[in-house]
Amino acid sequence: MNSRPLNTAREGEKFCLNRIGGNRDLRARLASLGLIPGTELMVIRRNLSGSFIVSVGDGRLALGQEMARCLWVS
Amino acid sequence: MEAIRKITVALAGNPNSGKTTIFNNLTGSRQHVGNYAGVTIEKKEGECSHRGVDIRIVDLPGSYSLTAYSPEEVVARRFILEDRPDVVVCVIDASNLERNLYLAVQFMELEVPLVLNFNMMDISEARGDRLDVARLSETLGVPIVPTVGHRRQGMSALLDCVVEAGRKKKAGIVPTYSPDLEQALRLIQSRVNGNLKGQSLPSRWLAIKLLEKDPEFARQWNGSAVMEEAKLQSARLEDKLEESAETLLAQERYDFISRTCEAAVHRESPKETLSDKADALLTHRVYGIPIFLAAMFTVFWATFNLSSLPCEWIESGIGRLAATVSSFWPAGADSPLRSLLVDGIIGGVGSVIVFLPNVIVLFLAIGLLEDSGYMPRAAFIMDRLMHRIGLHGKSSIPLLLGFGCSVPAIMATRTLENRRDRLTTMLIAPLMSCGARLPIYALIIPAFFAVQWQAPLLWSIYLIGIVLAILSAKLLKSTLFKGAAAPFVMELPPYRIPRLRDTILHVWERCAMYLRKAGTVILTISILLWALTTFPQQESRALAQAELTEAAGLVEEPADSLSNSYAGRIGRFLEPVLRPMGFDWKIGTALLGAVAAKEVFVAQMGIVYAAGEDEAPLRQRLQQNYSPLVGFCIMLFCLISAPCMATVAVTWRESGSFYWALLQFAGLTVLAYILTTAVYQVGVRAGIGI
Repeated sequence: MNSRPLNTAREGEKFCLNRIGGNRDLRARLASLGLIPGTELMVIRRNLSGSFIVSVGDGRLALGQEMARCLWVS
Repeated sequence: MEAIRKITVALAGNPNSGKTTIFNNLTGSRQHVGNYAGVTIEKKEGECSHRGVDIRIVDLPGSYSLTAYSPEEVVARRFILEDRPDVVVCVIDASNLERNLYLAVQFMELEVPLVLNFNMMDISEARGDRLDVARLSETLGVPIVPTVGHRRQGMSALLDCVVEAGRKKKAGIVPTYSPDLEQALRLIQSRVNGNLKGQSLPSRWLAIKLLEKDPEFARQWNGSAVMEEAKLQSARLEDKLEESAETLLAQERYDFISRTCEAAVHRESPKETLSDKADALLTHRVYGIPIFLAAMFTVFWATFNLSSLPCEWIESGIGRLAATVSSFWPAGADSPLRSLLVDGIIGGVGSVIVFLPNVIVLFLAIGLLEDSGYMPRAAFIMDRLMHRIGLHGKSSIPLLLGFGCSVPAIMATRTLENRRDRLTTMLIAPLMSCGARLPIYALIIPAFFAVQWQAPLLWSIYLIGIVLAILSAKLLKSTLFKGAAAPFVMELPPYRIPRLRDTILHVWERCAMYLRKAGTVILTISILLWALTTFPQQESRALAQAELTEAAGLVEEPADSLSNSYAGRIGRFLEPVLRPMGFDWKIGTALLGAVAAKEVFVAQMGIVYAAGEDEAPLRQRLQQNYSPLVGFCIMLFCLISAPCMATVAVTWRESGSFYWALLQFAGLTVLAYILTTAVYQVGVRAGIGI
């Protein structure tokens, strides 16, 4: 599976999250927001600075650009 | 069965699950609700009584999990672990069920008596979801009560369930995970059992926390055989499954949730919601920022323009009151009581109350932004700019709240995970021009500037504050608080139409607070400043004064009794320092008073200029005495200088150190002094506005 960081994604694309970088705290935080390997997400918005809004389940999350760089999707 | 009389209930749940609405419904309190994560940042307590049982309810800050990642999660977790409430009610947003159950599963791991409250059932039903609540309840072994918080539906059933759970004290089922994980947990648990160190925590839960490398417990058990076993097991798991133990646990929890929901939850495939449509415009990559700026412009435009008429009514009302009170004394009589009432209290407190309509409109506007759910969007839009100054989007929520009042703004910095980001935001928050500074601008601007300049000037003041905040943040982030900002991740709750009741309540509370402040702090300081401005009386000094005048060959000026008062003496003592900024001693005393509360500046100017015989309105008196340049410098100084006492106190408490509060206080005052002096000196030399 060719995995790439989320910040290369475009609006409207759907992904499966397969790897999360960053430290323990960050991964725990993301897990509690519903982001774990295997989560399906869709890019709702990508703004000029590389921040994202993604839909995860029924929720919407805003992600900064370094955050997006830590999320590997396919 | 023994009858219970009193139980303690903890109300836990994800941010934005409607916890505080439930709390308000149950206890009749009026805690502030909003539509973004982190409105409740401190635990709040209330009481109610149901079927003969007294129930103490503790509303915990919203948390997504029990990992204690951010300060509000620490508060929630500590309360559950240390205070051991009789029942935990986990409030769950039924329209975002799986994610919300993640916290509930952790309570089940903790084996506490649990009640699940499926809130916001109306949204989930409107979407066409079908939840088999009875079946879910049976599978989880936990009572589930569906409610619609904002319509107060299901409250009595919830209390029935809480009382029942308090009586039974029964936990739900313990979630079981995959064989690999279970085996690891069993091995750690067997070690834990022999070494409980007097802890009343379930051994399985401790095993989970140790496997997750929870920092608090890892430190506590460091070096023990138990910790060694936990390390061994987590290494073994990571080897076998190529994933870190804590990620595995998170996955297993979600697997457990989806297994549970599979049979009991039927949902329509997700459609584009109204919220998504609104977001398509409001967070648009091009239009997002202009819309945000337009929204902010509207807020401040409304603050000044919608309220100018009621302000005039209050002003004339206060003028009439002063005249009426004055008329109790014969014309020309010099009575200290008359002076206290008319000059001190009506002149001081009255000049602050005049601006109540401004404050109402400002807080109404901020309240609407908060309740609608726009705040987190603003954070998203601002992420880029905030990033440039070394912070991230989340910092913009406290900063926006700062336009209302610095105190809640500084408290709202708790949602920032990273301490460096939090301190930076806290220290610059007072540069966001707060509602208490509004009366100063509202007094000064019309006094000195023509109508066409009034709006741009007000804008420039707010902008100066924002620019200085940006520069200070950049400075702080490149010196004291070096280091990258924590990665930005934030939930965007669906937009909601603000409910009239909440908004009015919110505004009412801010008004009450403003009036209370006028009636306490400002009243006290006004009386004190009045006394300092009025005494010693002319007569008692007349002799000495006459001698002095004669000796110096001076002609006594009319303002002399003022400048010889205590306030005058303090002011004149300060005058050499104030001179470079173009301020006289009268402004000096008002600035001193403004340290207690910014509005006092207006009150003291009212007192100083009411003390003279001239009955002209305050603005006219200001215009006669000062140049527009001085007027601008007053606003500039008040914008930047020493935050009020309440802000200092809250910075002290929130930063945990007196020194940060002192740095904020001194730093801002020095900055204000330097900038105001520069502006005044340049202005005088260039001949602008003198």
